[in-house]
Amino acid sequence: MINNDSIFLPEIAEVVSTRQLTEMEKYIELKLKETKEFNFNPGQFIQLSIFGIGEAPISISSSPFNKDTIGLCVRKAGDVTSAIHKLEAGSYIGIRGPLGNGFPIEEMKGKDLLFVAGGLGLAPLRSLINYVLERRDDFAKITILYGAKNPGEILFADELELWKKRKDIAIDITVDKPDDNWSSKSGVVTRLIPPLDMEPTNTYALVVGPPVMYKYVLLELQAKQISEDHIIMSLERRMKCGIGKCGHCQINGVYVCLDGPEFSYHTLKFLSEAI
Amino acid sequence: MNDILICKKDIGTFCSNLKEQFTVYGVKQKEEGFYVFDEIDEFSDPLKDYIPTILPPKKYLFPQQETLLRFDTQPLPDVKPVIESRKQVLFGVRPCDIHGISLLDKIFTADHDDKNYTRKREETVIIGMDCLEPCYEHALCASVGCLNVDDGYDIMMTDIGDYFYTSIKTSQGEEIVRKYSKYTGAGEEDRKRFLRLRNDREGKFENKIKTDISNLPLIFKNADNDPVWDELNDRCLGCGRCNIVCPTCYCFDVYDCMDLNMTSGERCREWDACTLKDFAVVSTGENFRSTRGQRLRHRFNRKFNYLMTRYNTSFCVGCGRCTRSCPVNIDVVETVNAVIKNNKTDDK
Repeated sequence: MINNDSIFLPEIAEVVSTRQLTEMEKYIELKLKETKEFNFNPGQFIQLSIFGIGEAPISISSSPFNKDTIGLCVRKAGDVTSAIHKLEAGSYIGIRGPLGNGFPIEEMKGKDLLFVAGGLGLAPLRSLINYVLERRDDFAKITILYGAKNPGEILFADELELWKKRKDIAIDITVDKPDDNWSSKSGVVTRLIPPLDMEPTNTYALVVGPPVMYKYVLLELQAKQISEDHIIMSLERRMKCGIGKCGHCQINGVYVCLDGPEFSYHTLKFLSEAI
Repeated sequence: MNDILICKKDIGTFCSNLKEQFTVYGVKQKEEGFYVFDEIDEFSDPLKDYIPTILPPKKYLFPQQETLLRFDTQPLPDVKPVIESRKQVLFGVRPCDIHGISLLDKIFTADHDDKNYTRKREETVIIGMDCLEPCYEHALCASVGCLNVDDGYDIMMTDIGDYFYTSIKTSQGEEIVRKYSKYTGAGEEDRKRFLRLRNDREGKFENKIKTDISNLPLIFKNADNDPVWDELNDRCLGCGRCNIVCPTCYCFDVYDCMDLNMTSGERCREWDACTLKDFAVVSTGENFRSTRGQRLRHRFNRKFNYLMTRYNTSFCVGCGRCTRSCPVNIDVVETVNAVIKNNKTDDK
């Protein structure tokens, strides 16, 4: 939904609920004023406007089957996201989108899925995980690996508990720095990959996390012989327009907004400034 | 409409008449050797020997700064698009800059129509001034295929002595010539003189790039680790001048400005530059092009590889403004030739 009168014109949306997930991350739920059904693909993002502060690209974190509201998990990082953290239910903001393409769901059908989320990377993956769980029969084996810096930074803890209880998926969580109350695994998320029993030719790996994580996760996935075009990563870039004009998100010849933000490793390995 | 002749002494009147309907921008001398596009008041003696203006005329289609939205935040957010345009004539645009505008047309209409640009473009009449002699030492128009221009203008004028030999490209061009200019039809002799002058210019414009430009995307693609970028990393100041003066640089920043009442304000865009340090920094602090060498490599690749591959045409139009404006004399021709020399693949 890019406005025909002006590509920069956002649609007004109301904040219907907010929830502090961690010290730095807040979950906000939005409802568009005009558009009744918000359709998007997991992995797509929006440009969120706080008028007077600016616009920031935020990935959509809610399930695509929920068309009434849009859920975003926002880390306090810059001016716009700090302003988002001050929002309460009943506030109004602006939205442009959905933007980008999202994960290649059609290609993933019938395959084993390995989710690897690092920190805030769980935010966009949560949308896809929710999709996959809703359409569970369309996919084969599902494994979710999630790593956070410390127990206090774990996102969607209640939801993770529900996922753990499901018999039809496997989930493993680790933290880099455990505290006294932490009884599960510790260490970086990369370490959870080697013990997995995988069928490399039938597996899609969906990987979202900070740039530093990608390098190590890629090594492990390649050791498992997952093919390069079945390793899908989502990239974060500075964006001003979200539709291929402003030039900020360009990596070599590709625009993260137009051509991504999800890319296969097969594409990324030829882009010198990707990670 | 067939080609016509406009007498040089009638040009001033033509331009004054255009002001009935349009704002007219043309070339003025700012100081010795420096020219600018500016609004024309008196047009008795049109300049003909000017070299590329400090800034290209893109500033009238994609201004350095423009408002995109106007908003009020109280009681509820109310947002309106702001799309400004006016009927304008760009008079005396050289072929390189016409090519530049045609490339911006592609960019701003691709995928999504950027109305802040296209509305201005629709209301713009371009009167070109063809080049018969190389204008200055930095020009490389012929090397990048931008000396000849077949499209992207309404009227093209060529200096053939006492007259401008004038070709009309569009119906809008025809309309304004009929309405505002004195002219006579071009005769066979005039046409021959015009063609001879055009013919004579071949050979005056040197081909400075040491390969066919269609080879450049592949050469640049394989030149990511070329030592030329290390050398430029040490020289480039990261000042962004080459971006700002370029007719095909279109990257921009977007920011909000509140009014003093702190309830209403504007969202604006402003030219940005990919050679500036923070251009690709994300909110978590990572900078994906942190060195000046990487950023300049990106800029050169945009002109000769990335955008050239995406749109199948060179995004350098050969005006040479980047070379002229560089405070440390980084030369586009020298740089491209160095990359070619180090990376030329054998013809197979």
